[in-house]
Amino acid sequence: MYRQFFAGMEWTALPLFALGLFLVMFVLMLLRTFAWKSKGDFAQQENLPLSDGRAVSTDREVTP
Amino acid sequence: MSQRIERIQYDDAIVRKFMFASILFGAVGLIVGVLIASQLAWHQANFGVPYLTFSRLRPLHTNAVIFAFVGNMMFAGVYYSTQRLLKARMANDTLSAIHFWGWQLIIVAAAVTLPLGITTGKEYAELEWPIDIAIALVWVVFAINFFWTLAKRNEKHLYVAIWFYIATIITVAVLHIVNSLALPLSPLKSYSVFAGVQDALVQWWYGHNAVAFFLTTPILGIMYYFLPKAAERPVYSYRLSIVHFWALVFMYIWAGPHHLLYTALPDWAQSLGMLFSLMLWAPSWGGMLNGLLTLRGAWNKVREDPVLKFYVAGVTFYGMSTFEGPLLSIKSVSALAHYTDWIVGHAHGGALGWNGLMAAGMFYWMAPKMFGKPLHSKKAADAHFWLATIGIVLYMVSMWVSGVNQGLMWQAQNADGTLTYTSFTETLLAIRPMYIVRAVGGTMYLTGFVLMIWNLLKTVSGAKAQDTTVEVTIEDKPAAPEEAAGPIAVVTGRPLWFSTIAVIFTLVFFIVDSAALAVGLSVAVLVVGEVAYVLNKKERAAGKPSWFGIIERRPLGFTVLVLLSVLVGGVAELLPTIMVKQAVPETGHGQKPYTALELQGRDIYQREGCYVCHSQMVRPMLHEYLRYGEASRAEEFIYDHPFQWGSKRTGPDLHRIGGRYPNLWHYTHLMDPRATSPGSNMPTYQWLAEWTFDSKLAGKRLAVMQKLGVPYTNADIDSAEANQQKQANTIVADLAKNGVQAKWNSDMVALIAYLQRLGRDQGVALTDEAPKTSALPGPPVGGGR
Repeated sequence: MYRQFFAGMEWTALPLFALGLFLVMFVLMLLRTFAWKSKGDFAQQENLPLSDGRAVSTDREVTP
Repeated sequence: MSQRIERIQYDDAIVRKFMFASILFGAVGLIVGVLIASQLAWHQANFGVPYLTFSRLRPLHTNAVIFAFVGNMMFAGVYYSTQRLLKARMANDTLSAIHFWGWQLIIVAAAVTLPLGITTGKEYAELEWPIDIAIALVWVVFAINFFWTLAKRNEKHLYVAIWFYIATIITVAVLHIVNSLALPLSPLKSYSVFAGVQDALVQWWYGHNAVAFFLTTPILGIMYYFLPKAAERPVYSYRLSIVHFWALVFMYIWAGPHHLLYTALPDWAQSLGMLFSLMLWAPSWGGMLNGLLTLRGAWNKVREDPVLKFYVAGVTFYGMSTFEGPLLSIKSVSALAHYTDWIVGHAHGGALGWNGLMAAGMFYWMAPKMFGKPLHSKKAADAHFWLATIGIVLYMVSMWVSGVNQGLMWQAQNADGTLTYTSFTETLLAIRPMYIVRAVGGTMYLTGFVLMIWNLLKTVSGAKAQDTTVEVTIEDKPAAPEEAAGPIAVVTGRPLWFSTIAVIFTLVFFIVDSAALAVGLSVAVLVVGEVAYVLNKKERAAGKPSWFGIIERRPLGFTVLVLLSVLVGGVAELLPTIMVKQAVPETGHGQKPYTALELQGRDIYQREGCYVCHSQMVRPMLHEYLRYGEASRAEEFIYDHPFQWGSKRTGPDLHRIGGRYPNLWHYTHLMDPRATSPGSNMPTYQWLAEWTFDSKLAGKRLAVMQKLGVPYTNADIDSAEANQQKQANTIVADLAKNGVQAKWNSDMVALIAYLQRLGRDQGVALTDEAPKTSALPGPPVGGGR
């Protein structure tokens, strides 16, 4: 069926077709990321840089 | 469920070492950068010294900035953040030390060998084979230490920064090993196993992804750790960071061919490279926006905190560079911009803006923390920020103006179809003011960097270095569903099923010839997608682990997936070109291998770094035909180990230089470029007339090439030394007729032999039939250099 798919299609249309597919995926991804954002899915992960241990004194006080 | 408190002392000594090494080598890289920028504006700054010549120092500059400055900065950031994100000290201090000292030894080896002209002649991969092996070994040590730390971590989750580090470690290893495959001639000289088009594709697959996986992904990991830390709030969207990661890792690897647009590379590979470059726009900007939006509600801090100031500017430059990169990858834009200074401006926007400013922000953050003392002067840091920012802007704007000017002047034609600017040096004279502005911009950036060094030295002076000790809470609770799920759950996870079904559908599409089935397949894809969505939703509602939740906690499985994502692009692009039977020229004649003397001259061409300023690739464009001659063809490079297409035209293209000028012209030009080309900024190469080559290596060199597939006969190898002298004597005699005395075994004679050979090969018959046609028409009258 690839013959039907390619029949009459100029080679320049292929990259445009791929770009179109990409844009559709991109928009879906944006919607998934921002519109349907479920809070708490990654709450633990996203806070990792801010919860990397309580500093204790070594030879002097440190505040990481 | 029980909890226990564990005390961990991080290995910050290794972080400090990498930080100071980065600062030291950053200064060296910038100083060399300012020197070579000045050399382009004032050729006298080459001082007539071989080891200080632009063409030898430029690789030193790029290697110092990429591998010494950014490399050490990256390692400092990785060691600092990895320990804290995994709540574990690095697995083995000895491995950390071997990594540090091994990497510094490699840098010193590069600093010694590159000015000496010991080079492979491949851009950004110039280091010779013993150093390449050392790089691979040290990288393996780093990888073992990193993955060992992952294995003994006290934090179940792998934060997104760690993913970027994983991608960096495995991809750089793959890139370095494949691109460095070479056969040694001697302890300090080797030849790439790839040739011509294949070598070009492999080299720019490596070159572009060195930018991606050495200069970008690790720094993104650093951004995802240090930016939230400095802003005291989590990253804007963790989900977006997941998309950012996978999209970058999958897409970046395909984009390499955009460095080879309009060359002899097959057109499909060029288009693929352009397409993926355009698609990279989206994830790159997603990452940039994710970084900047992390500061929502905290922009007031940017005014006060120098660390945030550098991060914001750095991330903004990341956005600018990743906008400009895809733009330059569009073929019609590349037609104007390729080989010009625009590309140089783009590269420095990334290196100085993204890498340099992120490094400065990280140093300003880390140094006070690791010495328990506040930053000495915020005002000095502010001054550094403005000097750096204005310096980069001057640099980039001058290179944009210069690049567009060059591109337009090279293309300009009169009404009668002749070139408007017939002499190449007309362009050089026009852009010289921009070269001066560039040198000023670079000097400002260097001044800011020196200010940072002073500020950091004042900060740490009198303070005692200390390793941070923290108490972390470790939960000894029963394993969560994600943790309990074994590797079987990863392999049998639904995403893999659905991917397999998608692959099968695609295969069916290409095998079966039925329109009805095509419609059926499309419907089936939609049904499968819907089923996947419903099943996933039900399982999550039932509290079952998500597939991503399983894979995210399994470094090995994660690493395998990253490797697959990277390899698929590399394999799809490289294999068809490497497997193709390239040695079938369109003329019907095989190409004639270089003579022993020409090969010797080729080595000297690489040693002196001629490829830094001269391309050997005439693009299929009318103005290039008028200036240089017939467009270059793939079959003309089949014995070029390595290829020498170049990426910049500070001087004109040389692919059709052979036979265009007499030997005396080349001699005079190399001794004093301005004697033949007034206005040229090329350095003098007078030592070529004095230095002699080792003529006894001729046979061995041919033997190595024979092993690489170049069709030299054993008789050719046996008579190489004698033939070399014979050919040299003809050039010596020709020069003598014009009153120039040259030694037959001088570097000058060998280089002239090579230059005279370029682009004029008429081929040898594959059969007994004699060659019928010349591969090349003569250069058109009026063509200019």
